[in-house]
Amino acid sequence: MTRDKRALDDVDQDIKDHIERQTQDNIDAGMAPEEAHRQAMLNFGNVALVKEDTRAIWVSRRLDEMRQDVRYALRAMRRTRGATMVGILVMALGIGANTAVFSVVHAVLLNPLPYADPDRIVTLTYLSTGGNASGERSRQVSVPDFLDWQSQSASFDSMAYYTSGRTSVMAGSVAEYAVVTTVTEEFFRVFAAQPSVGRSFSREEATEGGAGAAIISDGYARQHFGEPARGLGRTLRLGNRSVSIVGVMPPAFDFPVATDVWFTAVGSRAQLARRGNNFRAIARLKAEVSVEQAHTEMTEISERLGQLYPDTNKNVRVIVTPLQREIVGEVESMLYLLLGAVALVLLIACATMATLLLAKATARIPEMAVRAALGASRSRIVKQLLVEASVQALAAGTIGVLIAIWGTRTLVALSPPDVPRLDEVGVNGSVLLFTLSLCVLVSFLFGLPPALQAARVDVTEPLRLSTGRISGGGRSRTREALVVAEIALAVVLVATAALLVRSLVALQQAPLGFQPTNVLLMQATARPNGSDWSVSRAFFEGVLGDISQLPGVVAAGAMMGPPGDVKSDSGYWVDRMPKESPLSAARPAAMNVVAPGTFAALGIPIRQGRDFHDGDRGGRPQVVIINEALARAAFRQRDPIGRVIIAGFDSMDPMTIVGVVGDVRQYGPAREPQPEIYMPYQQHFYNGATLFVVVRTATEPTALGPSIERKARERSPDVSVRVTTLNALLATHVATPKFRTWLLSLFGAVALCLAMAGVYGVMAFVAGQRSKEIAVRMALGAGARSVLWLMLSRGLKITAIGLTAGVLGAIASTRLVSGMLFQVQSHDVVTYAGVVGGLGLLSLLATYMPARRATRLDPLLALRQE
Amino acid sequence: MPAKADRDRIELLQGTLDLLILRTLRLGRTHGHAIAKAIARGSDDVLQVEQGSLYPALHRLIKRGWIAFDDGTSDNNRRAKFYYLTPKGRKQLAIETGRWDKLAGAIARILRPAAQE
Repeated sequence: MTRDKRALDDVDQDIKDHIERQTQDNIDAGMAPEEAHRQAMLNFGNVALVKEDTRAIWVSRRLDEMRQDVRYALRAMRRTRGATMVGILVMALGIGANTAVFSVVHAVLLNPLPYADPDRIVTLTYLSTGGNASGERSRQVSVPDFLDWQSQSASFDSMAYYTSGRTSVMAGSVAEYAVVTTVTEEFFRVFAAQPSVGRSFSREEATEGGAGAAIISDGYARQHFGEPARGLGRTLRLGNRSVSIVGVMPPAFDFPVATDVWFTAVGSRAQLARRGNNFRAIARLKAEVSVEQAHTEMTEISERLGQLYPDTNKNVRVIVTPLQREIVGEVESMLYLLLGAVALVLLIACATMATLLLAKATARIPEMAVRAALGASRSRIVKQLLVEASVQALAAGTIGVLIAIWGTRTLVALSPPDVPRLDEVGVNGSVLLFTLSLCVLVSFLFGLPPALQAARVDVTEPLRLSTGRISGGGRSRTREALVVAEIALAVVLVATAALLVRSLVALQQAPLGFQPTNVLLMQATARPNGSDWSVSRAFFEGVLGDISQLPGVVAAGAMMGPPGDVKSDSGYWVDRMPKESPLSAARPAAMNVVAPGTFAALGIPIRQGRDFHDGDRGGRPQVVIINEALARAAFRQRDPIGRVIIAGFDSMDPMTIVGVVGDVRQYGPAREPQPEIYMPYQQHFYNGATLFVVVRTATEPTALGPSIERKARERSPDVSVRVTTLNALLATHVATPKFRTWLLSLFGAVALCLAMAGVYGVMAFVAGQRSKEIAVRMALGAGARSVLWLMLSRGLKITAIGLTAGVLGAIASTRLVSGMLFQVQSHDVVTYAGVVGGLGLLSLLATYMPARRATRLDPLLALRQE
Repeated sequence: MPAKADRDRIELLQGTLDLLILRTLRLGRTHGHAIAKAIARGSDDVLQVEQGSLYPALHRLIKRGWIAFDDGTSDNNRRAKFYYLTPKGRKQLAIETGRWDKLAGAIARILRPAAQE
């Protein structure tokens, strides 16, 4: 093909040769040489046309024109190197930021899950339809309900339930925390997934009373056994059970996220209560069943169960949700917010580019007029300018992709922990396709206004007036409209960012009810010996004693759920249990188990009565401490000390209230304190035999971490421990708001700079264009002040329109983020006033600088410039 | 060259130029001008080839792989491209000729139905 295309090389030569031969023939036939040549040419036809037709065999004519346009574009860009570079960089930043955010959106929201037929995998969750919890969704389901669903439904190929958590596992000689997911037999069949090494669970291993078995993740296998195959047949100790490893999952299988060990549920299912909502349910739809059909069937089943078990299942429906939507959850709205914000930034960047190009286009009016005069059609001129824009957009896109590669890594590194599937984020084919379409879109957005304007050029006018002095008219109106749009969009972004900043500040200043600084947390799991909890209780008592001896320790305690991490809640009654009313009708309270000294360690004040002491142990009267919120809710003005409370935590025994403590925001800083019940650790069982040892230190807490961990290890190697700080735990609650606030503030700041650059650019251009007019005015005696005002008033008009449009836009769009706001309304007047004032001032400054320069011109100089 | 009056000349049908070029090249390799001359002479100057249209046609045939070319020097010591049939082109010529015969026959039958009776 390339060899053949070589035929094009000497077409000129071939044609010349052909005509010469014909001339010779004609001469031979008796013509005069001149006539012979004329006839030969005549017979040949239009040489230029023949050449073009021949060329067109090999190269499409459209492509040829395009190549020409690109050459022109590159030449034009070289001429204005500085402005072009700035423009390309601005666009590159915009495209890069969009690409980076899109690559996260793509991986997290759009990319199908890496399982076979992922759209057939669904979750089953409860939805309360009546009473005061109406519309509330609960993901945790009970085993008896699940078994009923399984036996009565026909929509699913396979169904499984599971529960996942960080628990103590011994793979070697020392206990460590690992994420263990307890699953039922069909769990892997729901995903149509197989271990890469070994096998799946056998029926015998998965049934009640069976041997049980474990399948481990690729990462866990490599970490503990070197390579996956060497993990097979090894034994894991999970609590008091020893189970052997029968399989290793491939690295891509990661559900639920970060699981190290999948373990078959072998406990007796019959004993599990219908209200024990501790599991999550997943299922695979049959091939011919849609999500809606499954939903309808499950609604019927749940209505039937509601009639059979009114105590627990009345007004509880079952929802079928595709797994992908479930995984994404609340992250979706945040990601779409970021995508929207970053798209606005790009729009503003486009507007800035368009104003830059418009200014350039004005300077090129004579050039365009010459082209039009030489016969270039309007569409050809528009096309050429669009090609110029596309060349710039593509250059920007190329740099943008590089920025995006870096930006994506930064986004992933900074993103809050609840964003799933971040390991799949990357700049891949679909992302690049997105970037390419973005480039095309962008080149139209900023290239079309100047192109259309150039096409409107009247051929004769600019040529006659060589200075191109035509001010006013449609051209400047387009430019001013663009600047208005820039200001308006910037207001929307900055207002949104400001609302989020105010929320974050409010969130971080919310009174927590405890002092989180200088508090060390050590999570520790001390397994009881069967049903004998004395081992665990002895461990914690001993460790607390050891720790309080350490220098630098101010106070030490231990609790089941540290503030911000409530592990359990339940209904409670005061004085006695009613005969009829079910537990679900009781008022709810957070349930906690604590050791003496915990309130002191956290800085929670004791308002009434006393703290627990070492005498509050098994065999002694059951005692309890409540918080002020519960005292208010249950006792109003009366004294709660000495009254009796009953809560369905681990028994229905009545407990005597011995103290009242201050409220803490136990569900995180964003939620008001709720009623809470504290029980002494020596009298109760606690979730997974796990407590958080709470240590208040005199100085920086992390310095004490290693010695506290050593004290625990010395007590028992069977206890797994993990040390962190209370501040670190609390940070996870503000991680998401912090992340989106930072990003939005960054986008807002960029938008602000771009918009101000736009205002400045337009005003500087107008000032330059009108310099002669100003010179005449000043020569005729106009004062600097009146000229300044002349210039300012125009800028102020643009700014005022932009701000008004922006505020209207912001009021409409910030409603979308109202769910993310904390103690700030989406129409907060103070925020809006601040944004409008700030932007107005900056815009005034951007208008003032070029205006003042215009008044300082020497009139003579300006007029002589011609 | 102006041997015939203009009204006696017939413009070439679309696509037939390709066929004529292939047929001409079956006689051996030659340069562009000679091809045009051969076509004109072969038809007793009835077929008018606007000589320019020869070149797009030649390139089209090269692109299809039916003909190829060499750079050579001709009789009067001038540099020129010499075109020749490729094996593929030889096959194509047979196909095109068959197709042309069928077409010509069919048209003839329609125009002179009496000949059949």
